[in-house]
Amino acid sequence: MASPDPAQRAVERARERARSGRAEGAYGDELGGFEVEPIDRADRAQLLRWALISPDAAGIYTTRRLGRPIVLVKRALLRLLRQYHHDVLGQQSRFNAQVVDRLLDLERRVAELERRAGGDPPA
Amino acid sequence: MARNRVHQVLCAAGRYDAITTQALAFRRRFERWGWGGSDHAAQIDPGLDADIGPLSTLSFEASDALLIHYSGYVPGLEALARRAGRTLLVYHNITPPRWFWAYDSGVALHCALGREQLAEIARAVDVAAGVSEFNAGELRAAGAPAASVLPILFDRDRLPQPAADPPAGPPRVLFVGRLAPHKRQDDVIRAFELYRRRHAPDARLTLVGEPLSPAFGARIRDLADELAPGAVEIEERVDAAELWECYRSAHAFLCLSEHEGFCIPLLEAFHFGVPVVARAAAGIPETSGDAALLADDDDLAVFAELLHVAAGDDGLRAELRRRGDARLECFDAERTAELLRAAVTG
Repeated sequence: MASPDPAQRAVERARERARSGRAEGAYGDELGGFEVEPIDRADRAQLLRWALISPDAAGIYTTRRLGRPIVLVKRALLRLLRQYHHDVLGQQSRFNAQVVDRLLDLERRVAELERRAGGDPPA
Repeated sequence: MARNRVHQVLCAAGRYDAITTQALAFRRRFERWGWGGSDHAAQIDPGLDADIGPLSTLSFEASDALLIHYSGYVPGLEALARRAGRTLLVYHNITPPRWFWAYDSGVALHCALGREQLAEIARAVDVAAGVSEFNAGELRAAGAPAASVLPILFDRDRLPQPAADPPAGPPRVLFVGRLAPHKRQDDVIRAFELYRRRHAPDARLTLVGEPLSPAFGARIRDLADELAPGAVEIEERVDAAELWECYRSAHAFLCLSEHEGFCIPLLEAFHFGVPVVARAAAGIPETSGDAALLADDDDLAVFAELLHVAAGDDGLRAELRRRGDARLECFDAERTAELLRAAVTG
């Protein structure tokens, strides 16, 4: 039975039209491109990608009307300090990668122990 | 009687930020009541033209009240909350970090820490309130069992009058909100493009909002150029007059956010008589009541069809306008101001 509420009726009608439109071949075009993906818990591949830190220089920007010269100075400083930052980022990435590797190894070993014990892994 | 002094603390203050606007509206009320005090933020947009100082410059006496607008982690804020004579927490919600990990790790971390810190602050304050029941519910779960609702102080009188008739010209769809992952501008563009292909080839979409980061903004722009070249305008920085003009020229407001604690642009759309099509997620159903076309469908074609109805059905448009006006009555500024006064004075 149709809802007596006009807004609710409009929603029901839209659902019906979307269904029938799809059945007729409308809405068949694939709309690709960027799609937001929330991350509840990073998987192994994602963790490894994040271990290697690589800041984007586009993160230096301005929200002030006359901030452009300040941005240029900051970018110039980044270039001047490139060798130093390369070393710092390398050290941090090395640590991150080693920690992730140990973590994944621990996960594997825990899973193996659980398998041998015959118990279900915790949720 | 000693003069009331209320200091406000914001996690961040910006030019196009709803919480900053809210704090400034509170300050105007305080001044009208003859109250003193100052406003401070942990992070301040350098372009902000308002009397809001750094948090490090905040000083207060034991008899002063502290009003915290909480929206994200601030180191040491829980200790500050314990020091004031009377402390109020107004919770504007914190977006779950899952929306940010892939796009801005710093923001994600602030959100994750903020949700932890919320529990500490909720226990330290004298009065805790959310700007919606949705937010108050989160506060209760965080450890403030008596959390109440202090709605947004939405001052309609500061907005220009809405136009009597729908705008002329081809259909124009609008969304107002920071370009951020949880606001799902990617879905807005897709739903709009489906609507354009099926019903209105000359339709236009306007997205108003500052990007989370230049990189995220570029992704949304690239998507718009790829799917609907020339049909999408992205306005990162608009002043109030330009924003009101966007509402006046819109035939429909499309909000597909997956997370909103309140969503003030819905009220602005109601004020301007723009029919609202929205995803029934988080706090959106509570804010919109029965004045919007709400759906929780995964199929964006449903929203495309709803845009078609919202922009083309005059009868439904008039009914939604009437309901929007009625909904705004629930957010009467004077009533909210009285609740605010009572919360501060105890």
